Amino acid sequence: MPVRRRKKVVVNTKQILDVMAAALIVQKAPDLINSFFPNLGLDPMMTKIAGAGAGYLTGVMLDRSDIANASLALAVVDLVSPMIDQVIGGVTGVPVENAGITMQPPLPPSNKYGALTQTDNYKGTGDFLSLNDYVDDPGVRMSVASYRDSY
Amino acid sequence: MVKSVPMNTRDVLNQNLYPSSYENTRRKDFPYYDVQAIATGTTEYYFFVAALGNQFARNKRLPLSGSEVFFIEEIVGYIQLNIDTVALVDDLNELLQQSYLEISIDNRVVCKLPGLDFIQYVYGDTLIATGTSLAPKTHLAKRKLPLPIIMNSTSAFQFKFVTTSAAATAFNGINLRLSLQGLQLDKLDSFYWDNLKQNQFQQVPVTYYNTVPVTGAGENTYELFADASINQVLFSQTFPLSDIQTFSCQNIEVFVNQPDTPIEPTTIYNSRLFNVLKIRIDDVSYYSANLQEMLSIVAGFGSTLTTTPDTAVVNILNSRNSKTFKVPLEFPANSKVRITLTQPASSLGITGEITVAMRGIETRRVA
Repeated sequence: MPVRRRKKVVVNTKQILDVMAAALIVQKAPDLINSFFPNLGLDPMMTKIAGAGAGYLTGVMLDRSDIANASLALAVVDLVSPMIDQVIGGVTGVPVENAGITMQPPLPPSNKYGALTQTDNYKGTGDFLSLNDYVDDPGVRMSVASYRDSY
Repeated sequence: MVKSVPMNTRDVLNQNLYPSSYENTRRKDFPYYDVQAIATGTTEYYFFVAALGNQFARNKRLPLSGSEVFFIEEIVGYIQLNIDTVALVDDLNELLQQSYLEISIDNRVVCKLPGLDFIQYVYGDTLIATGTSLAPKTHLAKRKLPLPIIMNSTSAFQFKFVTTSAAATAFNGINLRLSLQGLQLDKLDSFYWDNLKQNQFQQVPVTYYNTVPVTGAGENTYELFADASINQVLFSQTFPLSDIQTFSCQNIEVFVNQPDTPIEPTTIYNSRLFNVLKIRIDDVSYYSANLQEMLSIVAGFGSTLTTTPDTAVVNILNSRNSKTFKVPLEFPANSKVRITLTQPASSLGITGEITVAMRGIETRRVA
């Protein structure tokens, strides 16, 4: 049997640079938009779409199809990844067993208002959005040193 | 991961008011003051609405201009009359326990402070015949806010003082002065600053107070912060809290006054000192102790010296004390709260009023 010759993998520097540029634009464009238009209050889904749109437009204007295509691919990955996490439990959450039914851990709500979006601290988020629990986040309470002089 | 946005206006104050140079604002330690003459029949007074013109009366009229922001750090009031008779002590107590200053921002009440929080007065033991004060003293209370109240350029502010008709009659023609101590920012460049932007919650300094009448000398438990149907001047908050607010209590003061028939004030003080204040939150006992750290009293008593000729004197006991908690009492939204004050049998000071004032920070949803 003849030996199959493997194709030599060619390092395409131009393509690498284009994909890098696309990744940077997709990640950083939302922050740039927020700094110019701080009152927009975009939620995460919209920021990812805005980043993808910015990358695509950059590719079109510079006539670089790799940038445009890579932006779209990266945006799709960003959108699909949380859905996969929901199915397989993801890195942060462990499926909760309850009477034989596996339930997913609660996801934090979208940070439309920009406050208290510590995504790895569900209890802290729950305290403030429901206001039904004790305020037990010490980061929010005033220390006795800061209020003692007032009385 | 996005970090939480700080809600603490103290952080905002420190961040914006005390940086070094090359900032676009001019900072000044600048008090605003205004005066209103109390008049019989008028129980509501609005400050900082009169036109400027008399520098001895006022130096500010609200709203602020578009280039100013003001941080209120202390609130001070002053009743311009020497308290030197038993009747005036009684009237002063109405001003302290049954009057309040309501601060509203953009049609939303920020806090309702009872008079005992911030009203200053002069008083003194007196020889009745000559009306001479034997030892005049000043009581220089001020309500120092743990978090500043921010008067933004574009906000509508209202400072409303409400008192009883009896106090209005007693102090008819007397000036009540209000002073807001704090820091003023003059904007050197035009900018729009919104301290609530992107925050879902805000924290404001508050005083929850409730004034209850003493019903008799027998053993009795007074339920506090429980009845919202009483006169508005007698309370600022009842429990349970709504579902959009929580309260962190940092300081408590219990204030008693002289009875309708005055007796020696030290007798009242010694009697009230060992009443028991209990605070239960969701069936957990958070505080249960006597008033030794937190009892205040303003009471007068007239007596007659056995001299020739007989000389009538008035002596006034003015003692203010409050307990600041090292661990604040946290009141969650919608929680079951029971606050009671229990007096034993044969309590003296058989009439009069008791005011319990809880001071701290309220966290509430923005809008």
